[in-house]
Amino acid sequence: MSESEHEPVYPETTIIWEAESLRLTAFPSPSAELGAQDWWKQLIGDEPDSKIMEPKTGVQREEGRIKNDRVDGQLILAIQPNRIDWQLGSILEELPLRGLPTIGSFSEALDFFLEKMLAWLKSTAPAVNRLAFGAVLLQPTSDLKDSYSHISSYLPFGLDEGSSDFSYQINRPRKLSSSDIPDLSVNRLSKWSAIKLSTGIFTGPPDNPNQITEYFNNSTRFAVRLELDINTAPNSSEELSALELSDVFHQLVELGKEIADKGDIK
Amino acid sequence: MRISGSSTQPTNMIPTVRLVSSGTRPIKAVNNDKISDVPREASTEFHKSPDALYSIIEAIFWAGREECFEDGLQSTFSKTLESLVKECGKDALEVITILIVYERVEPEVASEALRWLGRIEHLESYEYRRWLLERSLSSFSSRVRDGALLGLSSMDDKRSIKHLKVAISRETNSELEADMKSLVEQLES
Repeated sequence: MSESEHEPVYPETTIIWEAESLRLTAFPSPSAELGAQDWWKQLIGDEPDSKIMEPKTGVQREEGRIKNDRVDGQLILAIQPNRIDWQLGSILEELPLRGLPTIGSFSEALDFFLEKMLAWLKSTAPAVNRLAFGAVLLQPTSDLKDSYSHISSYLPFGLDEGSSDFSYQINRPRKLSSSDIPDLSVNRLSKWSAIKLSTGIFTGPPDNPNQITEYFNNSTRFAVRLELDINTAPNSSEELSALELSDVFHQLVELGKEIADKGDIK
Repeated sequence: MRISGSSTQPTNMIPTVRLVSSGTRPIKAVNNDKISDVPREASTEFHKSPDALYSIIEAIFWAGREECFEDGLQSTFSKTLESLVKECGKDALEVITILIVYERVEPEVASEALRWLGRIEHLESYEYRRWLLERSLSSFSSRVRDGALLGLSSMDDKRSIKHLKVAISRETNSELEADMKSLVEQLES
């Protein structure tokens, strides 16, 4: 890695990113009442495909497929005493033979996700005192060398040719600038890596599917992977009003888009 | 998914995503059931506490039923709990939260746990512990609410006033209500 003399070349826009998953996490206030709810139905207009209660972890989980002209993925609502997660992610069981396991382009998937999440935050979300926007983004590349070249264009340092095993994670906290809430610190975590995706096909006899007799390596794909976790700092005990929540979440998303556009900047 | 052609053999498609790595660490070790060694102070990514830790903490609470707790005196239970919180931080607190919030442990033991959670000196877990204590003010059990109140009293944090006032408005036990009001006065002074 050469830290000096590296001028990052910022790629065009968020358009080139594809979304593997998008997430909103809300941390309920201690005084929030998390009783029976029908958030899913109110938001999606239909029942989820499944509702599961995991006794050991105490997670209530609702899941269903969302497919429209902007996204195709699995929406999950997971409720625990200390956190509520909405996650829209790719369906791994339906991994494409070509391309990457995504829910759609980052910009289109985000449009859909943001619209739904803002509706939830404004209408039925419980009292919340911490909020997060998470995303896993992929950018297809031709090979490992190409992945590193792409990553370098987003970072304040370059990667030497021939280097490998690169993984970079950093938190660059900021204060929310246009918020009415004083001193709202935001963690801006980003994690950069190169991934290799392999699809294999296993075959076995019809009477014993667990016995593998043949294996075909179907295809191998490469990508740059960016994990974003933009969240308000945990030391605030002020509850955010419905209006503040949607405003704050919108700003967290903008901060995430900025990193996807401009890379690791302060 | 099936391979096209004349084969009648069932097929399974196994997708794998992995970091390109020349490391020699077994892949299994990456996902094994251990406590995370990655710093995650600022991260909000969902992280399931290891099953083994859940079993350990559940057993500690179970064993705590046999102990006689005395006000202000550390018990074997509270010492073990303190060590676990300091050692495992958020992972341990997530398990303790499930056990207390979903009322899977004896109220007396939960109450003792909350009393000590307010006293532990461990900055990294402070916000989570305060959240759990404030959350426990709305427990169905008056013993648990009492433990939470004592824990909050030890923390002496003005930010709890708001949640104490909500708890006072809901409180049905007059003695606890009076104690809550006293704590609000203490914090406001």
